[in-house]
Amino acid sequence: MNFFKNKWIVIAFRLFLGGLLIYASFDKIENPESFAKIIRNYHAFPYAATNMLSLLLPWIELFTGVCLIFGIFVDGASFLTMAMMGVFILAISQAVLRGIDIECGCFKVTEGSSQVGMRRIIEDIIYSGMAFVVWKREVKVGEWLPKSL
Amino acid sequence: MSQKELIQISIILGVSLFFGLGYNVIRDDGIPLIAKKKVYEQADITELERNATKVKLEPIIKIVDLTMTKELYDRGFTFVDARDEIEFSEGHIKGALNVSSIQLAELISFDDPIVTYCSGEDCELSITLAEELADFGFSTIFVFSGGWPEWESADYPVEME
Repeated sequence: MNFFKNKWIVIAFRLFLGGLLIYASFDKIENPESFAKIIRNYHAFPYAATNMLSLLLPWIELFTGVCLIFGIFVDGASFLTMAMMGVFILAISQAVLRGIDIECGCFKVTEGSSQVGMRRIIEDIIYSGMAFVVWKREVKVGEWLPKSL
Repeated sequence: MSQKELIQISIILGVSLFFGLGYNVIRDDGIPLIAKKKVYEQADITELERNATKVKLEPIIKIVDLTMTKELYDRGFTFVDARDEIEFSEGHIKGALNVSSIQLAELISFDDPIVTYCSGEDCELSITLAEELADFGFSTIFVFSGGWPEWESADYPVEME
């Protein structure tokens, strides 16, 4: 089965990734201070930039998710999804490699945040694979900007 | 990546920037755009005496030098090593606990003072650990800025595993 030509698979991936990104953004948007702390714990970004990242990243997730679901700028949004997953994979991997046990900050940044680990890396690789299918799709359905028909 | 995608990405990033910064401005608990590291004061012995009897509301984090650290050590304060297990096992301040292997709250009470250290001036782990302990509820935390290298070269008590 060719994923790239199957419109239902492309739409299912768009909706899934969109929902995931929107869900992931809410808690971070509400708690920028907690999210900034979690970013700092990764020790992967310059300290001064961590607040800015904490303010921006959740909104990029939110709008990318909205774009994927509503069929707006799907090319750009799917590329951004891959890029974000790439950054997450690198950030989590370096933390795992250095053996630092930190909160992931992937979905929740307050109570109930999970720890980083191999499972997160594998999940993010799968998500970026799904985003790749959307990016390289050969059928365009339900896209309003630019129009698919 | 095509030019079309670049334009789309720029628009998504631009809108995110606008909302991210805008929401931070209008909300009451917005955060500064540039994160600044907190700078902690140096502690001195007399202050320690005062704090010993004072009821503390705010957690206190203070930096301590080698002389004062030795004083705290002799008074039997709890030392917590913020470095990883491997560095810890290769040598640490005698009696210190390793951060990765302890449940501190089970060992000491929140009012007990703690001394944190890592591998010296360039290492931030001891400060990060102190802030986390303060968030967690511990009231008095001293950060030994010289850390393991200074302690070791002063020939003070050490142990290996």
